[in-house]
Amino acid sequence: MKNLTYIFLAGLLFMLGCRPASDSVDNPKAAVYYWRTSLTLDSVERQFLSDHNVGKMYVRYFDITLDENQQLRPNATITFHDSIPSGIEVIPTVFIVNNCLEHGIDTIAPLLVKRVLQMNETHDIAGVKELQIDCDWTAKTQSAYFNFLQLVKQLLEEKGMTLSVTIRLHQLAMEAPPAHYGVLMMYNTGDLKDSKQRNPILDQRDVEPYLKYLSGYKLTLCAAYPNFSWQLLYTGDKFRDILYSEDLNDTTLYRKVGDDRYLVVSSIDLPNYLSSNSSFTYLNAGDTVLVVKPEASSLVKIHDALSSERPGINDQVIIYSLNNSSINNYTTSDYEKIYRP
Amino acid sequence: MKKFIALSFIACIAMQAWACGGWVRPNYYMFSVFNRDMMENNYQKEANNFWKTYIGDDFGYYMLEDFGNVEPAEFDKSDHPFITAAKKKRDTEMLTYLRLLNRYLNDNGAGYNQWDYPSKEELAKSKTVIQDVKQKALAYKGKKLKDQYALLVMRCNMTAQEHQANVDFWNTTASRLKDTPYKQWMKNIYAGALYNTGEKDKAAQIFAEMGDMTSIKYCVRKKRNLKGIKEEYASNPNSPTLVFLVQDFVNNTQETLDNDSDPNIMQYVEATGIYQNDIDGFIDFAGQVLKEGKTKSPAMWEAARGFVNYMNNNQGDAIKQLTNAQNLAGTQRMKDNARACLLLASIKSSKPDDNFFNYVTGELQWLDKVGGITPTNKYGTDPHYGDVYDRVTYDALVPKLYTWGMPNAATAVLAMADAHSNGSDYAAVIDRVSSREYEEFHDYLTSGDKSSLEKMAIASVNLPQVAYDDRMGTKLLREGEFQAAIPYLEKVPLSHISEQGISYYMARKDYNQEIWLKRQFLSPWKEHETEAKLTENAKLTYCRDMVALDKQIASATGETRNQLLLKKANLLYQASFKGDCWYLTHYAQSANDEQQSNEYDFVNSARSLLREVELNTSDMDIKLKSIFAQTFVIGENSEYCVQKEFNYDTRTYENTLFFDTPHYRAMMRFDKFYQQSNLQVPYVSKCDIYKRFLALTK
Repeated sequence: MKNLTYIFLAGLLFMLGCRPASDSVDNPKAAVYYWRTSLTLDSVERQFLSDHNVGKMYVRYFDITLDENQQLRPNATITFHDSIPSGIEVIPTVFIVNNCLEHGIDTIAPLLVKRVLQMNETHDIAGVKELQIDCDWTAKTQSAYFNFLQLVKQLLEEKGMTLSVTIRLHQLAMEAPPAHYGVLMMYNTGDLKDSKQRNPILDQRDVEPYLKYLSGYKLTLCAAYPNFSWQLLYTGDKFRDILYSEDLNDTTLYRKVGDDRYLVVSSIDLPNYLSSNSSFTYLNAGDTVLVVKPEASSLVKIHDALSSERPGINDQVIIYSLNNSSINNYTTSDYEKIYRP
Repeated sequence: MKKFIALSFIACIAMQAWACGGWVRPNYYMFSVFNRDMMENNYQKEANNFWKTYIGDDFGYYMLEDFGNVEPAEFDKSDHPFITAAKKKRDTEMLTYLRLLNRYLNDNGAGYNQWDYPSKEELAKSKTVIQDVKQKALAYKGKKLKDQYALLVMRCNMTAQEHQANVDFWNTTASRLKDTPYKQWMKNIYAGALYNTGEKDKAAQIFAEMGDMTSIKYCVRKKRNLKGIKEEYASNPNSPTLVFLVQDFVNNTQETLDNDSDPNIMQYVEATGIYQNDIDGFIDFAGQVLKEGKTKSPAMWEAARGFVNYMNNNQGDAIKQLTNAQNLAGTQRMKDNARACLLLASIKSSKPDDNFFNYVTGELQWLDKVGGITPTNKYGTDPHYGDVYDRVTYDALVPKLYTWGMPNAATAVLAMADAHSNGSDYAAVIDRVSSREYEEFHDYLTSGDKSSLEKMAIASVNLPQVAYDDRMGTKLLREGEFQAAIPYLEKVPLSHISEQGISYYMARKDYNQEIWLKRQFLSPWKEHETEAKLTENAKLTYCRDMVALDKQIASATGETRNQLLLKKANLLYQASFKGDCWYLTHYAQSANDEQQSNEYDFVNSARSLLREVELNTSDMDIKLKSIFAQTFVIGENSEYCVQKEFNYDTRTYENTLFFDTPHYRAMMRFDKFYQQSNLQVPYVSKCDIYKRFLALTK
């Protein structure tokens, strides 16, 4: 009998080892990412939050980058010009550029936590219970990143807070990072340089090879889906750049030659408004602009495939991102199919 | 790196095609009535130069940033040069201003990206400080620092995002100040304030007047087309924004018609066809503007349609209009622009006579003068004219000289253009041409009558006799003319070779080393760290060795001959662009190197000799070596059949076998022979490629 008990306990431990402690994040709610450098919400964005009963906003607070002296520095810190509607929980999110991980990232763990807490206090953002770290870490930087996360997690726990992280598809094949849960990013899954056949934002063929890792992944997961589109500039078959909200209906510059395809008819240089230095994107006559976004049906299909492999992963869905220019890419009904199928 | 670029250019020039290789000359814009280089915020630099005068020769621009890092509480104790200088001069007025400026710089919100994020109190304090600084600046009643204080007021308003306050301050105060760099700075802030208060057109006009290209592009981003030009003209025929818009249109037309896209690409043809309507529309519209007579800058409009006509192959109209534009009303820059465009356009329909050469010579000299270009200041005071010079010489004049059958004149013009813009095209051509062509060029430099252009160009050619002998000897060696190379190489002193980059390699790599048995790799990065000690000119020794070896081969028979052929194959391969001793035939090496037209085919000649040895020998050791060497040559000149590939499942690099390669077939042949021969040879058993091959095939 004693042996049978041991076998049962061993079996239970084995199962616990294979599966996450919980298949669903705590207190799941419809959520959005806010990924701009200044916080202002217009009526369309506020309406979206209200229509979909959004309960959480993952707000990018700042990035961590290397400065010219190879020092780790906060960059592109968000400025707050607006308040977040009451009842919505804010989850500060910090993006860390991968190359920072090789420059003593663990040393900034206390600085980062302190900074986030100070930003909450300065801008009266109350009820913050969690911090999220976003990083495209690789096998090479895994060890440094995990050590850093461990430190951040410990510091947050001392303050009664939790840590979440983003997980990219390729990271599913690796060890799970030390965090309370992960957000599986279901966007930017393809290769921009080879997007003639596949949708580089989200394509089922890029997702499928990774589905097998889902059931055994040892970290609670929720999923984030895209609502954005890209204007991709190509010269011949060669990918050149992503354009920034170009008016493709300007017939002096572009001609529509297909459903989502525009031909550049006049060469022009476009200032890159997203860049910190004055750089330009050069469009040459004959270049092509492809507008890509995942079909709503494709999103639903992938959403359901994830649920099949790992029930609970869609209990909380995050839409990337809350932005007036992206919201209308899908209908209210499309969003609800993802938020509340 | 420059040499790599130069080498990639060799073939381009030979084929008269300018868009091959890995580098394409920038498509410099010819039309410039709006100085695009004014976007550098010269007024800020000039304003900051005040400190240069104030503190003297020790001034450095880093001091400006440092000054912002002085903590206000530490101001009195600081030894910052500005503060020290003011104290030394007992300039209390300046000290008061500096204290205020320092407070502004410490509280203008720039600290948002520091690790210590400001608290609510600190943010509130910062706002108070900005307001306090502004009030104190407004209260200044003196004269000496009136401009600086006014600027400080506007910077405070900008930081506090009080844009209307800045509009008001400019209208009531700043606009009435005398013209200084500070006023220019304020005007720029004022234009930004106009933009932020909805007066976007007015803002655009000021940015255009100031030449602030970055801001103007943003302001008029929806008007950068013919429709926008027409609208702007309708609202004000003399709008300063038109200067930018017209130039932008002409430059974009140049980019469209002149871009390096493959004209065979259907999409490109279609795009150009569509754009053609706009080009024709622009030419008509410019004509209409000139007819109406409302513009105060007909020189700009006439030159614009003239240059668009030039690009549109309406050569007659182009020449007429660009000539006429120089006599119409407009700024001097507009007239200079028409003259520069005319130079380029004229080359297209010119004939090779004295009139043309005298005209081009005079105009190239004028470009230097108007651009402030001197031998000591190649960048000049206005780089646009240097760009025109480049395009006229490299892209118009040189190809034209080739079409006129004047390759030596073209080469001399390349030398002149390179000297002008630190280019390397001349070096590339000199490297590419055959020994016969090189000799002709050498003779051309000193013989016969020359046009004024040729005389000016030849002045830039620096070809001492020793350099000629070295180059000529090397060319003959490269062409496989070893005997003919010797007399030239004999005249080259070792000191001349020692000054060249190849001396590092020549001193350390031995062409007698059998390359298939041992490679001689050296770090190119140590090139300048270690002194080369040459004891002989290896090129000369090599040529003598080859001549002697050919004599020996001619009289040898049997296995002795096979041994000598093996030796010759190695010497040939070593001297090829693939060999370790490439320095024998080249002055630089790059991974992109290829067999050149004026080059003996060292690689294939070596391979043929190896094959000949394999077929003729009955000595198993010699046969084995000849097959081994052939396998090496095939691998080096195609791709190795064993390569490291990334395995996405294991996320590691793994040896992978590529079956469909010539090297795989060569390895199979070698392996079969080696196994059957029962030979045990160290150079085979130690060969790591063979080991990897065996590991994947056995």
